[in-house]
Amino acid sequence: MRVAVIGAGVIGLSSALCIHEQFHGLAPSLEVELYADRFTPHTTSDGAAGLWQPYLSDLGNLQETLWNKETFDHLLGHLHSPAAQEMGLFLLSGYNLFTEPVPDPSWKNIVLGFRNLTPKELELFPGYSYGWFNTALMLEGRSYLPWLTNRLTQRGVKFFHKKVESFQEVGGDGVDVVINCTGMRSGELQPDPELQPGRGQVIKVLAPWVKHFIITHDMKSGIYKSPYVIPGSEFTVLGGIYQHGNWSEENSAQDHKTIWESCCRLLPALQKAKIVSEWSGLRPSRPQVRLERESVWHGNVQGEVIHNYGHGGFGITIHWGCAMAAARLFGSILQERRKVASSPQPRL
Amino acid sequence: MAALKVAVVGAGVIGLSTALCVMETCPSCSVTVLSDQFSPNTTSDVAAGMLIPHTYPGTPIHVQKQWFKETFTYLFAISNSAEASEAGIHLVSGWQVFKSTPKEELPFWSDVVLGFRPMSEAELQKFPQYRCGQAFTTLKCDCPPYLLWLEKRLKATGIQMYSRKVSDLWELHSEYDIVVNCTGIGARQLVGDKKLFPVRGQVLKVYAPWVKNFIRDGDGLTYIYPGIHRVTLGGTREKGSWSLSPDPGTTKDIFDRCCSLEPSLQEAQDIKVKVGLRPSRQCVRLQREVLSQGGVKLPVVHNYGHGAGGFSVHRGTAKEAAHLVGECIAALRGSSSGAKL
Repeated sequence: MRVAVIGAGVIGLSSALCIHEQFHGLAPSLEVELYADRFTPHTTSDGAAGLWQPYLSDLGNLQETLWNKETFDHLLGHLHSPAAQEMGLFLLSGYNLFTEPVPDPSWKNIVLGFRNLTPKELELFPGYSYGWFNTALMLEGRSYLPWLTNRLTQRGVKFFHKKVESFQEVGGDGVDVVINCTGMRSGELQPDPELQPGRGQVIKVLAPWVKHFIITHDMKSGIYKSPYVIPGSEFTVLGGIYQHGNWSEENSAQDHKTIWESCCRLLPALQKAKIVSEWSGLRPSRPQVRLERESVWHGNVQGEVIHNYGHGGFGITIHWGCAMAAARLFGSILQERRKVASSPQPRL
Repeated sequence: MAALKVAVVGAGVIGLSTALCVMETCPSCSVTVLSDQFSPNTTSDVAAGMLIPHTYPGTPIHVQKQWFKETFTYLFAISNSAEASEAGIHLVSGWQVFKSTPKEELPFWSDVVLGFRPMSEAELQKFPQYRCGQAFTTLKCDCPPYLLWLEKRLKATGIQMYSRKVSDLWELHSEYDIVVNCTGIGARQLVGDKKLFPVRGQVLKVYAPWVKNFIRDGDGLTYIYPGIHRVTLGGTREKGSWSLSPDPGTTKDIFDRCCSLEPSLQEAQDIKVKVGLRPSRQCVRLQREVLSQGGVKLPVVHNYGHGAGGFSVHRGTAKEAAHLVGECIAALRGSSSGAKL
């Protein structure tokens, strides 16, 4: 049984790992191969700050809330393991700020110690009259992706640096299942008008005195269009850009100005922070995550594709729940194949 | 009338903050800081600088609370300004955990720090050996940055600072009109205060930048305090020990205790060991005294004995000391404005 995973961001690597961990002993000679044209540190996942936090509302997508919870609980379980630091995993507390009262989020009982901000805490953030405090997790892509890659390499998963142009290119030729984790560029393999870029830009600075994440929200503008500050283990990420439909991966001077000025207004001490780098990336946005099976024909051979893309700005937040769901879909494919293989031959 | 000359002896957090307060209260005074040690070699430089008060048995709680509140408010404003990083002041959140339920449900300072509340069951799961805890957000003063920032502010007001070992406060009587004694543990020898005793603290300062929250065992012996560049791991409270030499056995013990609270510390790098002697006393000695020899008087204001709580109350006690200096000035001016009839 050969499985080809396309995509080496957090979704591709974790899906490959989940499938291999669960089935390598069960499926006859399971071979997992991973194809991607970009590997860490050049994937979308590498640019993300790495904070576990879903959007404010799950828009009725209860399934996504469950996947988020599964991811948080899975990571929390790893917090005290010796691998945590290597994974880039650690606890981080911080603030979500609003200019008006808002309903509690779907994830209030998933994170630790969720509460409203006190009036004295709000004094820290002039212009904001309401907010939350909670402790969440950071999972830094620049550590987590290499860690996943190492786990996969140890398991004998083979990596191929190659831009895949079609499912047929990797399907057929003995590959039974393709896992499509191509994020933003899924549309190149199969058109999907629901998948649109949510362009973001971030400035990475040295500000080691910042020990909390601070995420502001402008309910009228929408998610990530308001300044945010997220301290990592080495650098602090400043952001606040979300441009729907913008495919540019070039840094914009105007966006730089917006981010810098709004973050310095939020945290005056940032004026003294040294800028280390700047990055733009495309969040693979979709009204909901596409996580489903599809049969694809290579000539007259039927192959299966498991789609796992469209995680917008919450890929890291939801990745493990989705990887487990993809593995379950893979499991059902395995089950079906076994039934077919072991079913009695028709009587003549 | 000539400007009064005030000498502040001691350049730790108490000496420097007191000198600054004296300048603020009495801008016409000429203030000089004298110390045998300056940052990074003061006791303050060893401390983590966390604003979590120590309780002084000999001081009324409302006074301690006032000192803490004043200090917290002062530092809160700096942490919120563009100067925060230079001053080394930053907010930090975390947990104080208890193996057995503490006597006091609410410490006196719980409404001064931010967001104080009991820990949830889910949070306590991270600390399986502990049965309850408190979560809150407080401030940390990193040293040397905070002391260097205070020195910079002092120099900007024209204050001079000299490296000098003062063996006897009286030796200053000819050069200065008022002396402020902020010598910390040095006061034991300098003024012979037998009520002052060292409580030795050994700490490790390690590189572990992924640690963003503080963790403190309610017994005060084990703590993890993330600073700007390094995390302070502690500690010990050895009453009566004067030894400033790091003890390797203690180092391992501190490291092990902190790793059991926060396992990821096993990956900590570049471990530096420091020792400081907390200048401990039943209560902070914050009082006036007049030394006199042969008809010559030297007013002294004492401000020492802050023990484990120096950072937590430094601004509050500095302001009170400056107020006492103000009283000394009034007394001097009163007595110099003509003989009594």
